[in-house]
Amino acid sequence: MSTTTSLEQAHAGPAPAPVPGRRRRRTPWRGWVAAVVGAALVVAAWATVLSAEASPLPPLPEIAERAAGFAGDLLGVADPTPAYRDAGSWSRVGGLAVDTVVMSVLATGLAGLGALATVAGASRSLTVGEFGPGGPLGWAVHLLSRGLHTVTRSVPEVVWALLVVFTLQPGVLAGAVALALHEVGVLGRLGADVADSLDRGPLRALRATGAGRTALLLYGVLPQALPQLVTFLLYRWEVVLRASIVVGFITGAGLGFALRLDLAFRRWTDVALVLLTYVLLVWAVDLASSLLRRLAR
Amino acid sequence: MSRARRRPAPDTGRTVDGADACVLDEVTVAYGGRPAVGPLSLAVPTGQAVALVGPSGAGKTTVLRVLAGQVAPASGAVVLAGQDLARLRGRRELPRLVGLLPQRFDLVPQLSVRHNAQAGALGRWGLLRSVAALLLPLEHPPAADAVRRVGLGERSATRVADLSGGEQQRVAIARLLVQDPAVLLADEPVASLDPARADQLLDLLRGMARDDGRTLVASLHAPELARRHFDRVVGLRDGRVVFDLPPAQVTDDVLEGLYRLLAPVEHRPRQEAG
Amino acid sequence: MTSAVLVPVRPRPGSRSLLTALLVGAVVVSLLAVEVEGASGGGAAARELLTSLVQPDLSPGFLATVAEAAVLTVAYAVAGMSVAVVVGVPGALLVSGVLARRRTSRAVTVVATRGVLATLRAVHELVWALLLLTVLGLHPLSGVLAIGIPYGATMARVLGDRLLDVPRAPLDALTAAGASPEQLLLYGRLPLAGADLAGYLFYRLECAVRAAAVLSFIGLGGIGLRIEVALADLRFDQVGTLLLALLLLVVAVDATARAARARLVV
Repeated sequence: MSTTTSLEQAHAGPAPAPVPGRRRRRTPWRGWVAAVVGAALVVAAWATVLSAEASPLPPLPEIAERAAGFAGDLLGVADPTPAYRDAGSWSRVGGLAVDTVVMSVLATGLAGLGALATVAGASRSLTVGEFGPGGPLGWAVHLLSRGLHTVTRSVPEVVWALLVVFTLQPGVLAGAVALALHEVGVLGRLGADVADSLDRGPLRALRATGAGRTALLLYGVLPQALPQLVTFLLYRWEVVLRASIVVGFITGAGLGFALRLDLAFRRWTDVALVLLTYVLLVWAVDLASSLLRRLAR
Repeated sequence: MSRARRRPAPDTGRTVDGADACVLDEVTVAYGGRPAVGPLSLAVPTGQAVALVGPSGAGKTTVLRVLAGQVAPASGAVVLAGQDLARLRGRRELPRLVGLLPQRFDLVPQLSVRHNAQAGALGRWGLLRSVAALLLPLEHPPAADAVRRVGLGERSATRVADLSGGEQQRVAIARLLVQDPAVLLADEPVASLDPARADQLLDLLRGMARDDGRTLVASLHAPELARRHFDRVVGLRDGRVVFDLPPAQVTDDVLEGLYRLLAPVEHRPRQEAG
Repeated sequence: MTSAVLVPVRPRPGSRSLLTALLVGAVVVSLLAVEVEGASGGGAAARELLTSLVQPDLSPGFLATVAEAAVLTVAYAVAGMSVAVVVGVPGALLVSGVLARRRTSRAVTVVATRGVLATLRAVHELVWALLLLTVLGLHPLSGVLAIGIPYGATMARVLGDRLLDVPRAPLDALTAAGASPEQLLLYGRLPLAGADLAGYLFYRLECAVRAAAVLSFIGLGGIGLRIEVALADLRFDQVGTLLLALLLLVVAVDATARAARARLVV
């Protein structure tokens, strides 16, 4: 009476080499249990969410009406001077787009440097594992780096932005710092996972030649891990750009700031122009990032 | 599964004794513009067990994949049970005419033994039945029979990834049994087995063929196994038939010729035939 | 005898060095493009912020508020993920074209779906929230959909890629046994893509928790709203507590993911 279920298949791993004498014991209904628990969680979540806010959902016709009205506003149906027919609006948005890209590049660069500086510390095998100094020093470095990554990663960019504007003047730099703070955690953790899953053979061979820890890092770890790290960095650039609009909303820079002002003054066609630029920018960065990733290969 | 089962299946040609189960007629195959096989002609009567032997690169795997309809010949015709393979490709009756036991087994490691065996029946199943068989604890009797027949009855709920290589091969055989083709093709079925197990496995394949009236074509790297277990031995080299003899006439001299002939051509660029 | 002197070698021009130059150049140019405005509140504000952050407000009354906000945040994340799955699974099947039978219909659906998904994905979840707010009002659905739509589009792309990026040979064997595209999906592609998908689902849940935490941006409840209130009141100790709670949530989801994967895989 045993069978596997679709959920279980979805969770099943790639074929591991069969280990003699180590047979997995499978609970046949585990997939169903997971499915039921998951469904119950979803129902509970919806119940919690729907009871949280007092405001009722407007009736369907009204939603449709509002959506149509909003779309009309964005397209400038009733607007005699829509922003997209005004050269000034285009050049303004163009300048802000440049700011936004600068913010994202700076953030990704800072995060990359931060991650590079801490990734060895966060790697288990390079601190307390096979290739690390071990001992209290190794543990201290490891836990500190890991903790730094966890803390920075757990706090969303937007919250970092709220905190950063308390200390830095609003602007592109503040936005870049907020984005970078979150991104250090993401990249650092990804990098540490890469460093821990490296092929150990070359590292052991290097150590056997008498290489010290620095040499091990430079000749063994970095050459193996760096291409993967750069690929991650380029992937994350797109994510950073996507987030830069909401961070700019708070730190008062780039397209996000324009969006905030245009929303506040109900300049709907300007809102549409900003959003259009934003989407085009994300597409362009997506393309650029995939081209650069090809270079990294 | 009753051992002497013979289903009335006129379209498979299995019951038409004496007729050819599969025919290769002046077949050539090219990989990347370079000729790999042929021209090669071979006719296998229904119920016969044929071994393809020859040095690696001789084109044994390619011939099997052509017969299975997985590789389209550049020229020539393949006829299965009197029907042109070119017209059968992609059709639902093809899996009943011919089935291949791949060298690497090509199972889905994450699925259980039973589900891998059941996959042989997918060509006959509708979508609803496939979903039900995957999600609900339902047994497909022919699949259960096949799993028992290959000796894995106790392990039918085990993930294939957790099996040894030999066990995985038997799952692939069970899948083939469920698919139930008139012509069984086996690509190097004993490549990774020790001699005792190799004999056992070839007995199993021969049994499958004889008891159910199937035709068997297998490629082998070990000529002595071919002589012991098959009705007919075909020597291939450079994609051509070098000899085609009953096992008794495959003497050591003949075999030596097959492999020695390779020496002068060793300097030529090797052809990419499987 | 080997010399200890290092002789300079001319670097080989290659794609790697070109990439390095591009990356370093881009960062340097952006650094130059930024006018460094200096600190606003200066070090004093930063110091006050930091010292308060490490002395979180742990009074029972506030902890209850935090717990309630945390539950709401997780609820938004889970509900958002349910929408993402509803968007992502059909999206993945369309964008990968694994169920298409004819080549032309496959090409059309793949290209069209890819364009739609790229647009849905490009817009940040908080911008989605702003747009939905205008139409749906301050209803929880605005927040749930704001997470679900872009996450679903991302999931569709990743899932679609994974469904295509499976070993070819088992699929060929199933096709040879007569499997249809749907059966190939069930008996081949899905199980073969298996482990990746589970890990990915948990990873996105972790992202969704962070996204849900900042839905306060448009006025919905949760940890983010509390953080904004505490910041407005200059109660940095409460900010500390809330950030700690967010940290715990993310770590908990991460740990669950690792435990679940460890148990389900290998």
